[in-house]
Amino acid sequence: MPITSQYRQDGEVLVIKVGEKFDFSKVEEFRNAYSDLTDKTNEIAVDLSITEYMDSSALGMLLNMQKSLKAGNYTYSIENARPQVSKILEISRFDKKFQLR
Amino acid sequence: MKILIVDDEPINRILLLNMLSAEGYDDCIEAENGTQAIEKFKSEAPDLILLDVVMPDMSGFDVVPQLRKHASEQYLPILFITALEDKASLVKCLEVGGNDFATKPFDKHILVAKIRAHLKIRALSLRIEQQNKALLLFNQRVAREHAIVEHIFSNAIVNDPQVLSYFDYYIKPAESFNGDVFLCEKNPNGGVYFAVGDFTGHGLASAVGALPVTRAFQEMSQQGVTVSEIARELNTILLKFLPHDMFMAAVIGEIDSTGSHITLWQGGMPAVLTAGKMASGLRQRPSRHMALGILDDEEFDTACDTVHLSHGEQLIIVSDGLIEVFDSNNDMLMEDGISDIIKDKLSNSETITAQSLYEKALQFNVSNSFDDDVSAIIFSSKPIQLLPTVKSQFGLPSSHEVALTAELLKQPDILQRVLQIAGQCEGVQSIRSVLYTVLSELFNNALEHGVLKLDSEMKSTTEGFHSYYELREASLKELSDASITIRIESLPNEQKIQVSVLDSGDGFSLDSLENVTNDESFGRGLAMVHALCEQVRFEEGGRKVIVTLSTNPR
Repeated sequence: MPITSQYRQDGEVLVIKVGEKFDFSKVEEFRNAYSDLTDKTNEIAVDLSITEYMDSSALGMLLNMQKSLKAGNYTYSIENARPQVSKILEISRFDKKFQLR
Repeated sequence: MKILIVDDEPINRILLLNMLSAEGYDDCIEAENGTQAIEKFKSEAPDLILLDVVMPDMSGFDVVPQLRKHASEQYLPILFITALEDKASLVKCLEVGGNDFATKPFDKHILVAKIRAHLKIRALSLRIEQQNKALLLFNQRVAREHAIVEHIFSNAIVNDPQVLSYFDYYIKPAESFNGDVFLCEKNPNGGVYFAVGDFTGHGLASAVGALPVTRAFQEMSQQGVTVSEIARELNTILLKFLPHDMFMAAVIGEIDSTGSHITLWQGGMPAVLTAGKMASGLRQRPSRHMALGILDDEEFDTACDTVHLSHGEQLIIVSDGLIEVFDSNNDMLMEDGISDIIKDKLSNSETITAQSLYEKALQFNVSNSFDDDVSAIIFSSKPIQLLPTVKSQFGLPSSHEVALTAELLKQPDILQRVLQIAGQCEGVQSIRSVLYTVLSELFNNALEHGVLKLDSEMKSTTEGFHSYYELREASLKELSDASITIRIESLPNEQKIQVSVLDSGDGFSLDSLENVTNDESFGRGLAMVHALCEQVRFEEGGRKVIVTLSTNPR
């Protein structure tokens, strides 16, 4: 299941939908998902609705995205995480860096 | 064909006997009087009777009703051979139940032609009787087989009433078997799964697919997997089981324990509707995918949609049978029609129930009945509180040990395969995702730091982050003579799982485990493992890590 990205709200929000497993094997794919942002974009949302598990390399990828896009001043959010994935995000205090919805 | 000749005059009998024999009717029997005729009829069951009228004991007119009394339902021709010529007598021949008559002296050709004609009808009648019997037997067999299948269906496709109580549903098959299926199951992580399916066609042929689908759905639900995985698995099963021209349109969903967050995979079904209190809030959410059982696994798309509902808002799913109906203008109801019905009801502050949707569609429908299976399923958002299933008092403890050589470590799907084994252990269902995270973490630590000796600090810059993973790939390619041994021990009765990972690296000094800040793109793994596990300890100079997880969901 590949990572897909599409725009929402007239191109203001880029939604990156991660597949069933979010681990180191997705490094390249995940980076490509945000490599081509439009000028209009002001928010990046990572949709985890079908993600069954993530590991610390996935957390690293999320933070790395923020670092590499620092200049853009985007808002970041994580959407639709399933309960056990939410737990990982909470444990890692990702609520400080991402809006969890 | 057997012919009974009844006449008191031997000469007449011989005459007829010879005539019939010359025409090829060799199977003839004789009776000298009425009484004998009735006896012979009973014992010999002839196909045609040639009957004299005037006989000493009883007249042919009186014999006929007796014969008819003992005859079966098939056409039994009785021909009077009589010297009487008056109209009244001839009419009487027919009135008492005879089928024809010939007056003496009879014309041989005409009599033979008559006999032939009557025997032909007799043969037809016998054949129909035979076919009727066969048909009756066939019907009985089919009815019996249906009863057996119905029994299997009613036992196999059963929803837990507790789970079912969260749904309002109205399901009506077009025939005794339903090509629509509605399944719902508890999610061990909290919340529920459901699936609404509609097989091509209706009746038994389309219902058989429901059995493997139900089994797979129930099993996967109990494992707490994602909707995407359920969709993929059902697709694979249907590809395997169903003939090519048959498939199942479906909506598969997972509702979280708050009842407000629903993940949907929709393929080939009418748009799912979401409704709030106001008519203006009604939304159609069309299917994105093809039905299940069409696309090969590589082409299959598991992308899901997410629906958020506030308390009391409704998720409405209907099968095409409900909306593909015509009114008197030959207009179809369709998704817009059913949406209008719902808006109408909302404007009048009426409650939307599955049955009321069915009734409205029936009113719309000019033919006043449905040709296809009809389903309407409604979930009204509310928190889902289901007690965990009481498992057998004694769970089955198990342990799996996988020893991965360098060759195996190079396989790209190696971690997935290990996770799959872990996912099968008894008692892990409630913490499957967490267990996967921990295993993935420990495995990658052992591989990247123990075996490949990569330095996490590389990951502290954006470019380094990616170089790190490139280096990981390159080093892995070169790897020889290394091993990682993973042991997963499930102790369901203690509600614990113990995982140990041993690598062939050099180990590390525990002092080097320094605290890292949350801003770093690395070093978070071990902290996470600590937070997720009850116990974490290192042995063999850091080459082996042993962790214990609780399977008791809080």
